[in-house]
This record gives sequence, structure tokens and C-alpha cells, in this order.
Amino acid sequence: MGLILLVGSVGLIDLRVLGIGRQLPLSLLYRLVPWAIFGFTLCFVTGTVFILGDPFKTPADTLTKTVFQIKILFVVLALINALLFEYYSDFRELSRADNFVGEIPFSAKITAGLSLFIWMSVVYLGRMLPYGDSFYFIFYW
Amino acid sequence: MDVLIYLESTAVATWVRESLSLWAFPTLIALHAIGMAFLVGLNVAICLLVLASKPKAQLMSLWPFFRYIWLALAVSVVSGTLLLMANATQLLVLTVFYIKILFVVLSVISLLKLRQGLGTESEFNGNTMSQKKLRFLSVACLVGWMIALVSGRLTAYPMLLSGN
Repeated sequence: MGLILLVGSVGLIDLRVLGIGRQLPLSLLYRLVPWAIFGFTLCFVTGTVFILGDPFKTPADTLTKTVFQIKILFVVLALINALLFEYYSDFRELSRADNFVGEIPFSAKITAGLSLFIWMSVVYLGRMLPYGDSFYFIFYW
Repeated sequence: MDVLIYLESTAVATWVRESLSLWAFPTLIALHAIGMAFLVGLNVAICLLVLASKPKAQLMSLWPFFRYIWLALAVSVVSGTLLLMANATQLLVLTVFYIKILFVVLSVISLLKLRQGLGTESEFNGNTMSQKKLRFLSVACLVGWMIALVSGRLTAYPMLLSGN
């Protein structure tokens, strides 16, 4: 559920910033940001419970997996990207303007594109966790 | 059951189920998860905006996002079909799997109606959908997807469902 709220809210904002649905006011999209934060919090809490409460593995078994560490790295990158988008692109000012439907600055589009790629990677890496560190099998067909 | 066994014995299904390659089962399940995340996620975000917004004119701008929802649905359906073929005898005997498919279908129907209601001004021709009906469809979508998601997750735990 947390993943749905997070990916859906962030995905819609990113697609709009990339130029899809240009008539959609940014001020309307800004209302999704609290839902994205709530979704992330839900993912963080449930993820921590999974790691601590897994009856078949110790927390160290999960934390030492390369796939898990790469996933967390991507989550941190996504959060840094989100902060850059919020505070260093013009998104916040543009979304405060009533019914702004104009062209978005290129720097904001870069961060939006990166955001989409990073969150898709986080979902992918999360699903790869049960397969451990067998990434060398990526070359095996 | 013979049909299910045949499905599982096809070359594609065997490759998905038994190959050690990361491109087989692991990547398909990851693609299914990504497709689901964007399909349901974008849908939920649109429903939240419909429920929170008053001026309908603003909501008409959500129309272009639907093609990405259909793309995510296509990814989910293709990956889901391959995963189903690989484990047909295990999945197609679970009641919860049929509940999942039923609510996926109902949610997609609600989504189609919602898209119709959010149609562009040129398509209105006076047959506008009221804000109340749009909100009802949004709630129906949200509830439908939540049930589909929960039942989808439960298909991974057949022993739990049988009480073992």
C-alpha cells in the first residue's frame, strides 16, 4: 500500500514535470506530496518490521546482502533527488502559482526523469531480495 | 487439471519456472511488481485528486495520464500471464486468485468509466458526469484495487490460506 501511494504520487508528479498533461495545474499535483510522504513512511515502517521480525532470517542476513544495500543506496539517492527537486528546482514556486500550466525548467525535468528511474529500480531491487547475491546469473540466459 | 498441466509443460512456462537465469522468474515477478506499482499507483493518485478537487475543468487535464496506466496494465498482464503459466496447477486452484482477478477486472471497468467521465471537453457533448458520480467511481477504484492487491499478495501464501 505504501509503495502504491509513493510510486503513484511521485510518478504522476514526475510525468507532469516531464511534459505529460501540460494543462494540469502544478498546484493540484502538490496536494499529492503528503500522500507520497505517508506512503514512504509506511514502506519504511513495514520494511523495518519485515527485517526485524523475519522468523527465517536474522536482520544481519538481510542487511549484509548486496542487493539490499544497493536498494537502500537507491532509496537514499531518491530522497536526495526529491529534496533537490523541492528546494533547488522551481517546482515549489511554480506549484504555488495558481493554475500554472506553462513550461517546466529543464533542470526540474532532469530530476523528474531521474526520480522515475530510481523508484523503478527500487521496486526491481526489492523484488530481487529473495534471490540473494546471485547477480552473476544476470549473464546466464 | 490436464489443461493446467499442459500449460505448465510448455517451453516458455518451463523456462520461467526452472531456469536459473535472473531474466526468468525473478525479472518477470519484478516487472509484474513495477507494472502493478505504476498501474495502481497512478490510478490511486488520480482518484485522490478527483476526491480532493472541486473544479471539474482541472480534472479533465488528467486524461493524458491514462495511456501510461494502460501501458502499466499491459506490462502487468503479460508478465502475470507468463507467471501464471509457470505455476498454473498451484494458482488456478486457489480461490483467492480468482478474487484477485475479479477485483482487477472490476477496478479496470471503474477506471474506464472514470476516464470517460473525465473526458475532454470536446467529448462531453452535454453528457457530463456529475462530480458525485466521479467521486463514487474513484472510491470504487480505490476499494477494488486494495482488495486486488491484498488477494494478490495472499496467493504467495497458499499454506497460510489452507490453515497449515
